[in-house]
Amino acid sequence: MRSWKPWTLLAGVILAAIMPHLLSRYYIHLLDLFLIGSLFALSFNILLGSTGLLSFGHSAYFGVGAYSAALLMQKVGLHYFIAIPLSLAITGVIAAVIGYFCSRVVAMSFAILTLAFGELLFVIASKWYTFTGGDDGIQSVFPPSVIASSAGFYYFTVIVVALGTLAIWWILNSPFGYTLQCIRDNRQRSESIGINVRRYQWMVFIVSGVFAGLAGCLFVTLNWSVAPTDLGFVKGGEPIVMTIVGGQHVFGGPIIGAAIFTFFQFFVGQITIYWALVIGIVLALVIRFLPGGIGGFIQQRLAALHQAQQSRV
Amino acid sequence: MTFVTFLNQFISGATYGLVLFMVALGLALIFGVMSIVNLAHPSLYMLGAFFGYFIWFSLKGYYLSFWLSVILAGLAVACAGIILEFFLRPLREHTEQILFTYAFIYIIADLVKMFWGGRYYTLPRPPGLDGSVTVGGIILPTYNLFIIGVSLLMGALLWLLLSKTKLGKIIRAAVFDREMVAMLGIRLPWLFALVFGIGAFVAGAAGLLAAPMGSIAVGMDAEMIVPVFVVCIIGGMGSFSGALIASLIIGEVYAFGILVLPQMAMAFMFVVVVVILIIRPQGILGRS
Repeated sequence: MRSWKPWTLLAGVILAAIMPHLLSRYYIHLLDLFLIGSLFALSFNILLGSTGLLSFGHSAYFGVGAYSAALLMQKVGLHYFIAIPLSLAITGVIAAVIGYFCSRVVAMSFAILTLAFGELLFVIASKWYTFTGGDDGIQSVFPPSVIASSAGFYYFTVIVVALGTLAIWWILNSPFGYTLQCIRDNRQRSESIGINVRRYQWMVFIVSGVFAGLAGCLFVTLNWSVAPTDLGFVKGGEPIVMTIVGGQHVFGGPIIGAAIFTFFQFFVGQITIYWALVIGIVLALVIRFLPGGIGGFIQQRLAALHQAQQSRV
Repeated sequence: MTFVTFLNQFISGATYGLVLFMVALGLALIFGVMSIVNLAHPSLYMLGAFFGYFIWFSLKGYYLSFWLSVILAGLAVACAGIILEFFLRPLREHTEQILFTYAFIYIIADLVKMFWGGRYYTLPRPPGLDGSVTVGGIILPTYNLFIIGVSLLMGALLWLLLSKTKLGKIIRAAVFDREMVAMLGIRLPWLFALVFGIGAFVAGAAGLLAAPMGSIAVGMDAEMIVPVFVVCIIGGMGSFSGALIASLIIGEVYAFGILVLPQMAMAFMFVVVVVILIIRPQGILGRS
């Protein structure tokens, strides 16, 4: 076994634990955004990387998670730790309804249909003033005092995102995950060996939606508010950019992508208001010259390095 | 609802639908020939409106300035489309292509913002079309009728181009068997650039033609994306007549939806999408 693995893990845990003592609140906020973005992008990549389905409306489930958490806390008055599991259930139900239709189509129709449903939820969120607060969204969603402080929320986010990441890893490496890969690689053959492709596509849609909803719940806890743009087309582009830039065929790719995206949004955003142009160009360049993304590139290099060492011995 | 309101609403729905149809035409052409979904097509539509406005502005006062700017804007956008196609050329996989055009949504939107700012520009209706006509005692806006006519004309011209000319024959042959067409000495890269250019031309011209009915601003691309692609999927990807039927359905559903529930007019559109996709997952006239 590679003996460095437990040590890097330990170093990672210690580094994560002392972060709030090293960095100012602003950078902790950015770290939170990065962590939430990673979970969001990882949930998106269950569809893209593992099943080969490109969704342009993934922010819908992120937004549904955020909205239902906010509404449950504010309108129903539930406690935060009860509202979160419930809002995940709601996200699951909505993903199941939309997924029922989206599992009937593949490839480009899937991409466009997910976009259309995402936009439908956006319209509902931004126009239904009496229920969702319309364009203003929902403000003053106060989390419990344990996680209301900067450091408290940071630790909470680290733990939730780590657990979420582990869960996604476990799902992708289970028989279910391998079946998804089988569908991705050859849909017809999967059907012919008796896999109910449509049902699997439906199930993976729900699973991926629920994880996006979890990211959305964290997001509403970070901002103490939610707005319709959190489930719009632009938000839906974020996991796409993160995943493609980071690498869709490597498990950690979306995490790398989330780090780069957060960096771009805030540091390039300070230099120029045209950061979307920079993101667009980066995305186009990565697709053209690094089809496996940065994660794929690193993996390739590591493999080459490993091989060179082997051949030397 | 009286007959007059009904008719007016019907005309406005048809106008909206047929503007969508013009954008969907280029998409259907590009998809049909090259099986590329150009997500940046609505961005080309926006680009057409901006190019057109500034060409019109510098030609202001001249005879036929509006018509000249429609054609020039179309040509300028055709060039932009050909540039986009040039960048797209090395990509083979569908997902890569669709994501690449997606990146251009960001790029084009920010370039437009950079050059022309976040302002609103408005364009008057061209002389001769700014009034209304009375048909059997009912007053109808001329410009809307004109848009309906010009959109159907564009559809008809493209159809004639594809089915009656030699170029159309070559394009249809390329859909059927690319390698064979290349073997016969046709330069496929030029053909593809031309097809992309034609599709972009129609979108660009549509951008300026639709401008007098609304305003020109950053964000008109985003407004267009969902309805246009909805038209494409429910019509059946790559089908002209499917796109025409779908765009009329979407336009009318939107126009009458506004009367019932003004805030949620968009939502009715999705009900139609869901119903059509349950009955025919491949779209009205799509081949599965």
